[in-house]
Amino acid sequence: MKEIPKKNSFKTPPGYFEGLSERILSKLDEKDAAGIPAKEGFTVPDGYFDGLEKKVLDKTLERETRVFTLKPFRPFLYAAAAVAVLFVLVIGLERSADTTPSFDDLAQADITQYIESRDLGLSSYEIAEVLPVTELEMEDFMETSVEQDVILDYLEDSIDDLDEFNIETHEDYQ
Amino acid sequence: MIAEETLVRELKQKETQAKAFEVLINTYKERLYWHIRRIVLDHDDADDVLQNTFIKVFRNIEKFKGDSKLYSWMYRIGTNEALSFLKSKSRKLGVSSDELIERKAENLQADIYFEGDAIQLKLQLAIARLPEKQKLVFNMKYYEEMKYEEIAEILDTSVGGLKASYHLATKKIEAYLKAD
Repeated sequence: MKEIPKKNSFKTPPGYFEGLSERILSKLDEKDAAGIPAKEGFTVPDGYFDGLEKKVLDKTLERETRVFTLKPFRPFLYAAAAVAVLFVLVIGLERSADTTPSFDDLAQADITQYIESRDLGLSSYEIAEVLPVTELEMEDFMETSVEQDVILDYLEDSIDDLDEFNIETHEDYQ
Repeated sequence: MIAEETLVRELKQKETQAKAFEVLINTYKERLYWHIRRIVLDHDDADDVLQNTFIKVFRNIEKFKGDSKLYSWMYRIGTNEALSFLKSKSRKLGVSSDELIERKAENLQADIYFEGDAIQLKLQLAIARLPEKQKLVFNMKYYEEMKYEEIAEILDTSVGGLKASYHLATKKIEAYLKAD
């Protein structure tokens, strides 16, 4: 056995054992044996969790301590409500004799004004979430189609230097 | 860390309520946030739902009888809030909840609070296509590392059913990730 050298001939890359445990632990964290990534990629704004308690506490504790004293006005409120109910009943009975207006009776301007003034409860971001932008055409936004020649004529008449709009020839983009 | 029974008792007493509620938010905010975020996908919606969840917890703490763990009860409120939020949002937009979540997953690429690579994006698309229960079970088991018993308590279902849902979900996700 003496002839057999005991010296280890194997070597490791420099610094291999430094940080080995962290590397193994991070591999365990990944646990992507099934090919499913261990991390999802979601992030939050900086300091989001720091300010959260205050936001929630402001919405709960303050509201809980708010007190309304309406009692002294109650008799007046009852009287006012009774008068209002009578008034609505009288008006309602008079109107019930009239015919109900149909959709055709509404002027186009009234409908447009109603849609414009109505709060749909949707932000532009929410609308954009479901609006299939790639399937939209210019005609979806315009009532009448405009020929390309007409657009070019308009641009030539109303803009001094049409070439400024051409990105390919504009000096800033050369 | 404060014992759960003590925290619940303090939450129910007017004099100690404010302080205890702060402790409650501090203890559970991150875990609940990530649970909700995985359901609604974007940060702003997760923030809204998280705040509503804590507000509901605060308003209903008197009704908490201690039959389940406090965090299970909160998770149940958070899950219901998130699912209701998606339902009401999809109703407003005139699409189904499934359709909404698929579109949200498709839009993650443009989300400034999503920095996943192509695989992670594909993973979210795969999860979005799962039925609701499989989606919840997969996220809670794989990412939140919950025990089946805990998930069963939150979702009010059997452990056997959960195991089957999880198995189906992982198979579907793996197949989706492997496909071109």
